[in-house]
Amino acid sequence: MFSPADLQLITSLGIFLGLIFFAALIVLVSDWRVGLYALTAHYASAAFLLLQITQPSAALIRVISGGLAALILYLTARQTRARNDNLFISGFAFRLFALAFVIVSIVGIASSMTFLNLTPPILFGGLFLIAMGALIAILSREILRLGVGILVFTSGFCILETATESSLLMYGLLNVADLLLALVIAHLAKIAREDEWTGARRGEWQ
Amino acid sequence: MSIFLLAVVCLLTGIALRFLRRWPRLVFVAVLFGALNLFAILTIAPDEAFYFFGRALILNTSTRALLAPVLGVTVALALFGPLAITAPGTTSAQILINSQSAFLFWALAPLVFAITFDSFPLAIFFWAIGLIALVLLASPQRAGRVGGAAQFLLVTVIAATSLLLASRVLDLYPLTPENFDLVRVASVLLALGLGLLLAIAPFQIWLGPFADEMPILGTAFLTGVAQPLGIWLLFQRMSDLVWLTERAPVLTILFIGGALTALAGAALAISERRDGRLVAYLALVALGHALIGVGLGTRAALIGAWLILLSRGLGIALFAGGLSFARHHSERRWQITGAIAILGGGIAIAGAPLAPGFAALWVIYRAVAATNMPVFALLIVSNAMVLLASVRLAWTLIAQSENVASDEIKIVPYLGAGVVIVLLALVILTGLAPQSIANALNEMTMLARYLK
Repeated sequence: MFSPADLQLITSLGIFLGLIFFAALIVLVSDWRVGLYALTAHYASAAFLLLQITQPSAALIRVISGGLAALILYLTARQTRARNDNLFISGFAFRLFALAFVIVSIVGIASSMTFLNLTPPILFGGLFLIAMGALIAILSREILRLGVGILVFTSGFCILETATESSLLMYGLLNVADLLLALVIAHLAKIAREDEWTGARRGEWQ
Repeated sequence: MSIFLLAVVCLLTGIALRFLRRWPRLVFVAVLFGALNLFAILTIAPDEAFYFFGRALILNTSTRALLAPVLGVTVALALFGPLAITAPGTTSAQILINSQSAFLFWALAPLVFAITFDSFPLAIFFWAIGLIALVLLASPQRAGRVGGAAQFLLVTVIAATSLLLASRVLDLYPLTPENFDLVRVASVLLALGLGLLLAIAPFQIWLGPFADEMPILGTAFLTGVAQPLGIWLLFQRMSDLVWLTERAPVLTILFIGGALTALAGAALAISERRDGRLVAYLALVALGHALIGVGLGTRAALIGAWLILLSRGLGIALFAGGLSFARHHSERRWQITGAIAILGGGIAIAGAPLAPGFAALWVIYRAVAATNMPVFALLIVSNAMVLLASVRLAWTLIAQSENVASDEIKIVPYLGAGVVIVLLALVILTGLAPQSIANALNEMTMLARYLK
């Protein structure tokens, strides 16, 4: 039989594997749909991590706000006829190497240091998402993919912030900020491709 | 409650401007009406602390001393907005340009909360929200690349994260005062966060690409209104935590960062031909001087730093207004008006005689010259470069202006010229009698217990 500590370990391991898998999909797969589905799924994994430090209702809010942010980006991508080429500034091999480097670095950091008295699972989850968000944003050539990186970054920070600050106001504001960020990213993406997609609506570009 | 009223008036004014964007004269009237309401609220409202979810929003002498110039510069920039209005646009970029004054007011609303919140994390949060809202004004230049505006979003998120984490670490330190690592970590996070958002050298690399995608007035709002809030928040934090300046080299970092920023700004500005970048880089020079003023750690230098920021705000507004004239009204008289505004703006940004920054520079330069002569010489050169860049641009406008025949009577440029005259008068009046402002600033700096 498993002890409660074992169950906790297995649960944390499952959450980490989920986070790593979804983050890897965003970094490695050059398909905007896969990227947005992975972003939505990563919010569910992050909510499971949040369950360790907050109420289920608060964790659910994270999933809802994240889902709405992903929906805003999805609708924008559809409207602007987002393409799957030129999403990243580097090739697959480099992105794979960078992903592995980030995972190893964060495992090393989270297992060897303490920060603000956070438990190792929370510290790893938060730092991993922050690092992955920064990596996605740096490697992106396209505004929507950079936006996905920013949202992953804020997702990681939200975990650290919720673990260190019990203020419900700050937690709520961070969720609202995610929606505002998604709106601004959608706005920028729309303007950047306006000539193309207005032309496409008129039937000038296929 | 009056603080919420200020934010609501900002939002409503923005909405009205958005709807009136096809009629430049009405935009001008709406901005004036909004400004009257804002200043009436600021003047009439009593000193109060309003509690929101247990956090205080405070309106007192200090916050008023900062709110007044912030509102004033925003209103001046919004009044220049109608100068750029073109025929009713069909593309998003044209619509954005026609309604840019609205976005300035919308970005101002969160900044009002950032100034008045008596909580460092919430103030940082609302500062970041104001900056993110400002990005709505940007127009990425082409698809297939991440532009400066999107990069700025990332910079804002990273910087806000650093500052919020720094705040947590600073809260924890008094519980374990023997743990100096916490102070070091907090210093690094503070330097990273503020360095990024204030564009302190060498973190200024995002400023140019961002300015390329923003209208001039948007860049002017960022540098003249939003950036000084960072210094305000740092000042408040240093005033609350006296041990921060004792146990971490915050003042030294500010001094060195300020000197590097002034030099980098001057070097970049002198070779710059693009309008947005020129405004941004010129503003860096004055920002560097203000940081040095804070870094000197004396009351006189701190008051000087606030005076420089005031002079900088007025100067940036004039400079941006001048460029709005120059780029959107080709008649000779408006080109000359633009050149005069640019020259006045350059004088105010450089803190030359007749500008309020001059008295401040006198205090700061004396202190710097006494300890570090090479830095003093470089600061003089950097301000000379600001003047040179302004004179060069103004001269080019006058030399290239041609008589363009136009029978159409345009009222908006005359209204804009009125704003230029008011701003020039403010610069000269505050420059001739800086003590009138310095007294209010002196009261504000009484909060600062860390001063030498």
